[in-house]
Amino acid sequence: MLVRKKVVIYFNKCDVFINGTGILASSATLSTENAYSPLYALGARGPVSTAFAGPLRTTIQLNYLIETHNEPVYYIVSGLKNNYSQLNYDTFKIGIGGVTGYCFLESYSVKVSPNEPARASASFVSFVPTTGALVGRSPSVGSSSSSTSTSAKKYNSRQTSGNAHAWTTELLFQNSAASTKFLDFDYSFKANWEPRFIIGQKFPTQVQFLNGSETFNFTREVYSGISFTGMRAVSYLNDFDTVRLNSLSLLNTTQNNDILDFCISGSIVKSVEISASVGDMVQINSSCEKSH
Amino acid sequence: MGNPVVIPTRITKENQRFFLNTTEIPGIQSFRGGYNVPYQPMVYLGESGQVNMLPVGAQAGSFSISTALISNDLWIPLTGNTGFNGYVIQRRNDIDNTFGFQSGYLTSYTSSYKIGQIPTIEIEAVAFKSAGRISAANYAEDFDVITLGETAALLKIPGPGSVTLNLDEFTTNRVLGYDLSILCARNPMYQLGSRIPWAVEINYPIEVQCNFQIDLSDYQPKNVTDFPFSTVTKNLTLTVKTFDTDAVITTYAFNNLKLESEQYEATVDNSVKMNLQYKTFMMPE
Repeated sequence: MLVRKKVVIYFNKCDVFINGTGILASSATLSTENAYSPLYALGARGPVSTAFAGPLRTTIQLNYLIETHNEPVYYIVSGLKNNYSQLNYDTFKIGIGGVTGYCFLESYSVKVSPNEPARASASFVSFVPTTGALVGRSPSVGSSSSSTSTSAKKYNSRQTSGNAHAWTTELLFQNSAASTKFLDFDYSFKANWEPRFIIGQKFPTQVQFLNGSETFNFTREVYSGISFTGMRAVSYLNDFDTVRLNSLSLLNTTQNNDILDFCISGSIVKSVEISASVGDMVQINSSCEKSH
Repeated sequence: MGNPVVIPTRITKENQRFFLNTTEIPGIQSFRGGYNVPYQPMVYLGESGQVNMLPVGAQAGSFSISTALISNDLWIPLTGNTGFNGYVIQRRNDIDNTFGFQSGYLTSYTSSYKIGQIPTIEIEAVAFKSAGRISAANYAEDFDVITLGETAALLKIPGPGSVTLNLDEFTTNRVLGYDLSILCARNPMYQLGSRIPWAVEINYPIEVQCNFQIDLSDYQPKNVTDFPFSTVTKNLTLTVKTFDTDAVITTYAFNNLKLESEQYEATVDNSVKMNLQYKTFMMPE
């Protein structure tokens, strides 16, 4: 007797989008935590009830390949960095297989390793319940039409030529090629959010962006120590200020308007580490940090 | 009359000349190699339709060459840090149809000899700059020299009796054959923004292994429990000369080779033999 086909949502029917933009996600998780603790009282052997220990909290974690023409989280980070003094922020609509969360960006990281496509991961947090149901391909991705073929096109409109890649990563100083070279680069942004509650409401009336920080990690083969406390990354890293991610199409053309710049100007060298192990070259890992 | 049979052209060995950089190597028995494009299917959540391929990993070619040891051993110096180019061309004046590699690095070298045969060398190499068809536009420097023309070289041929081997107490006439291999794994180092490594280092230590087959007479084998405190250590000198003039074609010399294996072989149709394997590891000075 044949095993009957079950109705499941396989990965190819599970759209992932950020504010309507499909991303090339290799994995996505959505977890909701209902924080409570048992309430014990004298006179009772077991808990008399449960007590709430914090707000409802949903976390969404996405890992994906970066397309330079289609990278929504990069612009969310830019928005936070440029407008961090404002008090109210809009949430971003994150969808996984039809389940939607209204979220704030908690962390974002980008990693570029030699001969590899650039990869990103983003973590979002939400303090309100999710909506929708796990129904497979969502018509809201990329199109108002319910056609599945139309919605899928939004994901990868330029095929692999739109992907950011180590081969097309540039190091710049004042918009020209920098003399320094790196073996590895990773970037991370972290944001701290504080939900504000008032008595009588289940959900926060405001979620405030408290602060954020950017960290730039570089691996290279030349060593120089930190000369003084507060040394700037630009001068430490030998006249270099920007890592520019270009799409793979740059291999075929000199013109590429889709770029993602990661600027280290204003950051401070936080740590320098020499790493030596058998069977490999000695590597120097530098970490630079900028606070917002 | 029927239609004439159209015989497709084929490329045969007389039109396959191998050049190491700009020098044609005599005695090449085989040249094999090519490249595999490092692609992976780009699979993601919600994907539908055509699956695109994404470059993941380093671009490199791999090649193996087998050659009779004639005139000169140009390969042994390449077990160090020197890179090289290799081209198979059809004619010196037709270098636009060249298959080969650039920035190749040797990963293994094996010199073999058995009684009654010409000594042979087999090498394996990886290439980091390019692999496949190499047109004249790619690398004019080597091709400028290759196209200059023939230089008639007097071939130096080794003969069966022109190999001398000194492994301390062993005498040459007891050794039936040898395999000497040098393994030098490579570690290419890449930077962001480039497909070509900026440096290629040897992954030390280099492993040198010598296998000998000897006819047994008064040879006293060891026992596995003799190790590690009674390790057998030998110094090897091996010279290949021409069969007619005794001119030296190549010489190998290795010190501190340690006995790693003895394999006893007794059969009904031959004399008793012993296969010995010695090994040493080399680091740079």
